[in-house]
Amino acid sequence: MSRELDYGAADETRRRVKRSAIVLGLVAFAVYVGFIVMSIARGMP
Amino acid sequence: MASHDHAVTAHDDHDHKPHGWRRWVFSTNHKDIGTMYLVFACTMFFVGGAMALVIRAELFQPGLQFVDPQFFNSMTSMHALVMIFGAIMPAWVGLANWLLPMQIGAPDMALPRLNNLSFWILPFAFLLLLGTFFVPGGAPAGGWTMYPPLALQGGDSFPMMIFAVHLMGISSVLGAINVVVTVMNMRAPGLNLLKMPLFVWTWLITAYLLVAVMPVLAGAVTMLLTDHFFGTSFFSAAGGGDPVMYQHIFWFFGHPEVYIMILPAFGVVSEIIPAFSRKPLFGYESMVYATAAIGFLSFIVWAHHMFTVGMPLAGQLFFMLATMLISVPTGVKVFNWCATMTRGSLTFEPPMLFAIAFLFLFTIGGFSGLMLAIVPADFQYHDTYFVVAHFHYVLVPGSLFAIMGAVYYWLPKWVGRMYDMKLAKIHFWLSAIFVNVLFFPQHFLGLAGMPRRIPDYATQFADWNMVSSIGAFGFGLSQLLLPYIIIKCVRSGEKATDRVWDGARGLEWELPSPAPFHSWETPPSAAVIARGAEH
Amino acid sequence: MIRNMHKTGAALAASVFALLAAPAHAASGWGQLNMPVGVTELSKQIYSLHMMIFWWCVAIGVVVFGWMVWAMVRFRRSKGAVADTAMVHSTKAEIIWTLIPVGILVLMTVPAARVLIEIEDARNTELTIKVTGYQWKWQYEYLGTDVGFYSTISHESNLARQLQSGADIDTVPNYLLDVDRPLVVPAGAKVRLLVTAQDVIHAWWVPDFGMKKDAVPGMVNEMWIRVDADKTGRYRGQCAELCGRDHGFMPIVVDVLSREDFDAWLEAQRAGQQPAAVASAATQTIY
Repeated sequence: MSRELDYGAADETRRRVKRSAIVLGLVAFAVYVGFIVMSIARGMP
Repeated sequence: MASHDHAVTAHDDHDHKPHGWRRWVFSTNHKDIGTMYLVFACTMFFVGGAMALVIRAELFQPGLQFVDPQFFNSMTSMHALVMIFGAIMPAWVGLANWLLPMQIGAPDMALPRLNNLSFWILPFAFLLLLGTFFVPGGAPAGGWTMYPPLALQGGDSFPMMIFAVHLMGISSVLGAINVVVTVMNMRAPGLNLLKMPLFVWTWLITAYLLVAVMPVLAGAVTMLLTDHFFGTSFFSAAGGGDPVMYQHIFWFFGHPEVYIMILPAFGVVSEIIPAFSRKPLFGYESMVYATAAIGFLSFIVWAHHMFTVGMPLAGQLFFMLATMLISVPTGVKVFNWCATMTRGSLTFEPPMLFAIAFLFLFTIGGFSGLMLAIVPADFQYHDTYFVVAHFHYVLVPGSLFAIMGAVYYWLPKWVGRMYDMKLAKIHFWLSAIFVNVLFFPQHFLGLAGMPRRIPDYATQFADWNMVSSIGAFGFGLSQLLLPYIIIKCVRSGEKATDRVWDGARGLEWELPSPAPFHSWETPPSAAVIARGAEH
Repeated sequence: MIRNMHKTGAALAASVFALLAAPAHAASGWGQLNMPVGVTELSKQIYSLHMMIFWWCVAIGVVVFGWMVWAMVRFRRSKGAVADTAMVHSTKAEIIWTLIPVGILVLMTVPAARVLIEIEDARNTELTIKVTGYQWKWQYEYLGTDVGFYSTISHESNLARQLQSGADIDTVPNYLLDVDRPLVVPAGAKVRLLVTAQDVIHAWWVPDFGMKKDAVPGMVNEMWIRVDADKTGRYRGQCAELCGRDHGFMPIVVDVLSREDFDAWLEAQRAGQQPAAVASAATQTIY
């Protein structure tokens, strides 16, 4: 089942796509955790 | 076309889309997913609209005629949640799906399966959210802002709402990641950033905003959840927490959210006005910089939503100044649009009509926004119908009109058929007139002292509330024309040309109408890009 | 399109006109279009700020809408307009329409900041009242005395506001804006209000006093009012922050008495007398 689109570009593009998607996902997750941690830290005496 | 055919045979099943329900449920195609987003948004628009009509029916006269106050509060809360997360945002994602690959010379979005996931999360999110109507205690009634401690008083609907918001947030973040990755990696060779159409630019900046702030909302509601069920006290004063901190966190999400809903509208208007002025957009680069400036400023103005909550003087002054500063880049945009029309050759087809109404009415919303930024005056305006009028002016004739203008602009390209111009113009005029009948009197109500979110009011507010309700029913019923026009167009519209509008510029117009299933299987040539990317 | 411009223009003109014509205390209905000038030191300043920024918006609106209308009338293809495709950029124009708004903003900010600083100056107050919001009533406590009481929506309004009560709203006096026991403050004195809440967030707002303040549980907010000495009377407001089912039904009524009347009233309260007798001495009724 080769349903993946080939964008006519090299594997390099695919690697870049994957890498930047993962980085953005991690950024989003870090913001999520970051705000909760910040709130916990603020509540500490 | 030779190379195009070659590409098809080389990768056999490209144009053999699955049929029946599989085509939609397993879709990885940006156009099919875009269509699903738009149909979903349209459905939710009518669901949220029905709630608005319940609100306006109850407020038609003083006294409680139809609904219990608690149900009224559910209506205001759910109307907002459904319209923001169910109608406006999915509509923009749908438009992004349809247009970005075509506009940047790509065959599809960079992450097609992620695209499928981010759409299919949404129906489940809304099943949860709308399901709250059927649980003990009824739907959420603490406002879409979910301020604690009030939100914590919610019944069984409370966890359902929280998980629905989580799902919507995940959907938006995944969609945004897809947009960023697509725009940064999939542009046709030679199409550099400053050659991209404004719609791509505004969506790129919107996507960055989404990635940065949707997790903040998710964090805020997670803390609400643990406060309710796991004994934490992030926001409970009794346990050493601080209910105001929730508001800070919420609005740190909430204000960029406002721009998430309006920036793509700026992009759409920046495409439509040049097309029907037959003249490139004036000040392209300053438009891009203004969009970026607005995106940046949106992160440092959140507390203007909470001036009355009690804040140090320095904080109030800072947030007042930062808020007013936003009017500068916004003003640059309005002036650029005016300059684009100046010395053009204007015609007034439905997309242009919606764009011009946007220009007028969004500016009115901008004025009331400027007034709201003045802290002492905000002490009077805050939480009144003046605020309701303000944000509906920027969201309805702002975002919504831009979405409808976009649909009327690109629909012939999508389906290869022309819609009924005359009906679309009728739809426009009814919308433009009734939206003002609906929302303009709310300025008066707010200034005269009517608080927002009340199910019943003192008799001195009766007259303008009646006018507003008449406008609401007029506006709501006129919107039924939109799906009718679209269905009629898809079924029996006349064949559209490839260019559709003689003034249209951009790579999407270089494709045939209807656009092929995979947009640009071979990247557009330098000559095509040069013709398409004239600003 | 022409019709559209006329409509928007007319709406704007009508509102401008109406705002000019509206008396400060229009009795009701159609004429009630603008913010009340109010009766306190601060409310009048807030009103003038509001009007100043309103006129700035009108002035900017005349320029911007004028430009749009002119462009739409003058450059129609049906009138033979030919597009000037070379007109795409002008650094000079863009600098001008960046700097002029900045200048206007400075002109708006300075008076706003001045008023704000005054609002925040709650020193030298003569009387402190603690205002506590509950679902769904207000509690008033005169600090330093043992006078304190709850204030809930009046019985008549409460009956009439029930779902499908069948009551004729017009026969209910001050529908939804009457309470059983109003707050009483002296005219001419700088009164400090400490605003807080017991359960959820509320907001205390009397439009004629120019301001509202959120009542947040676990937090005490401060605001002050000084009603003009000659503006004794009865003023009304409502809770302004969604606080649950009966958010729309926790009105605020304030009786402003002259200093002497107020002192007498407070004495009577201390002695545990019925409040009604003196409170009804409040002179004219607003609204």
